[in-house]
Amino acid sequence: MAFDVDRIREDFPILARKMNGKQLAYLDNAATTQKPAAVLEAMRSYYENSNANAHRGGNALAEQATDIYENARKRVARFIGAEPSEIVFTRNATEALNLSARFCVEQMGAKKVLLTEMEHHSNIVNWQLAAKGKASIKYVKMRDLGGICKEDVTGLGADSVFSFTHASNVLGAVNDAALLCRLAKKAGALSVVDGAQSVPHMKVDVHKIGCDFFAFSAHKMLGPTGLGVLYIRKELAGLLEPVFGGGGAIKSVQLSGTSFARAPQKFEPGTQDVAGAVGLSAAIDYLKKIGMGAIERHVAALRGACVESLKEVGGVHVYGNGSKTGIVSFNVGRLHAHDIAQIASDDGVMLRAGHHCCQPLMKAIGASATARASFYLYNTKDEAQQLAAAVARAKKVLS
Amino acid sequence: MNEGMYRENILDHYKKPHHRGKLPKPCPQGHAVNPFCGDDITFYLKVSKEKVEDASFDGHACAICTASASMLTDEVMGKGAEKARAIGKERVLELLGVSPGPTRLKCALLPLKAFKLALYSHLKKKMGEEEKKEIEEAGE
Repeated sequence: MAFDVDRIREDFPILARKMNGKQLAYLDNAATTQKPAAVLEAMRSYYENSNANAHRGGNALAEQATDIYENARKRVARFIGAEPSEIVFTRNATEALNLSARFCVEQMGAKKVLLTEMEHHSNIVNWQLAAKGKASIKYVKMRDLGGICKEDVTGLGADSVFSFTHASNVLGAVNDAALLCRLAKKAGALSVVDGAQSVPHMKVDVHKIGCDFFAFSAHKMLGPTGLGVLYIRKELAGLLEPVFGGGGAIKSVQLSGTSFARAPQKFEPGTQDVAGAVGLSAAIDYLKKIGMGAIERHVAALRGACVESLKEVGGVHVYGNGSKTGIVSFNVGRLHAHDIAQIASDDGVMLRAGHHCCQPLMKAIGASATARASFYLYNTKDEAQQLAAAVARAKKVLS
Repeated sequence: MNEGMYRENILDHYKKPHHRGKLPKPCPQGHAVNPFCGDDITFYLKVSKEKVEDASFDGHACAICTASASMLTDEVMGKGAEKARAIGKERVLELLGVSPGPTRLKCALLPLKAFKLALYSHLKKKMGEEEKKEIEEAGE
């Protein structure tokens, strides 16, 4: 099927709206993406026709809800090359990364945590919390803005865990996750991958990557907010104990103690977000229909066009050159990123400005804040132009 | 054209800020940072006989924050310490002439925080709870 962006845009009702009387150009996709009608309809249809409490009840409706929930899990598993039993639904990628940290430090006895300075705060703060008094933390530095070099990944051992981002939300740089996980494995260390920025943009196969844990979020890939995914390699999933306890995650409960259900149920206590899982499943169907390869090409072309038109504005500095995930972080002379984003917003262009939850990375690139445009499948070259025009106006207004 | 927050008075103060720079040491200073965006303002005062004789600011900030700092130096100049102390959020927004959303409100109030810290370091007093609460949200 030919990639037809006008046709795709028709599937996203919000894209037709105006902001301040200007055509909306939504360029904050690395923060969260818009939802196609198919996702909204799937969730609505679930609530209208099949809503019941999955994995409970034994009534026919509850069984239907259970089937729907488990089918969603199967689709998610297939999408990232995992088995369904390796997929745990969480609240978001952040929760998935927090669980990973606790599993590695509290249950698997990791004494050394290796992170990178590219990480989002959600893959730093979780480790700082889990490691307190139990493990030490070190950070791999970047040599340039292209990602982590394998030569710099040192000091891993059998008592280590290496946790790193697959794709940077600030630079768009993509790390070679398979290579880095091989390094960890060779050293006998555990590996955790933050895939929040990669899964929406490229074909990911967790078994080929060879990681122990892999986290991502539904809302950054056309799905609903409130749902994340944690992949746990099945050999580990069997050994690990739940961090949270409650109903639905157990085999039997006695006053003296509890025996837990199998993975993944043991990691999902309490009533689950079935509608969210349905939404994610519909989002995956949508992405597959368009094709991940086609999305990647479209987004890379948009990033190229955006960088070109920003160059024409003059005085714009773009950080990094990763094009796969459609991220353009930039500054304009000595102007403040907040002012750029505010003026762009007045012109209908939604950017993000600030430190992007990556203060250590910002320090490494020597900027206190950047403005960031991030593209996805429904964005157009016209929107890249609209951004450039807004940046040009900001320059004029502020200087 | 939607002028939004970038009105003429704000842009004038941003482009040609009043009293930008340091005052000779030693003098009361206040430093405030907005960790969200890196706005960083230091306020300098010269107070004698409980009157603000001179005021200046320095740092790196966005247009709203810079304009707010510049206007505030004008505002406090020549005022008695007690009168200057009474300047609050309302007055700063009145000077700016805009009502920023929650994110930009921090930018607008950061200079007020730096100023109050400077003034209180001179008065050697503790800030009142109400006053503290009003500027607390501006930054670190």
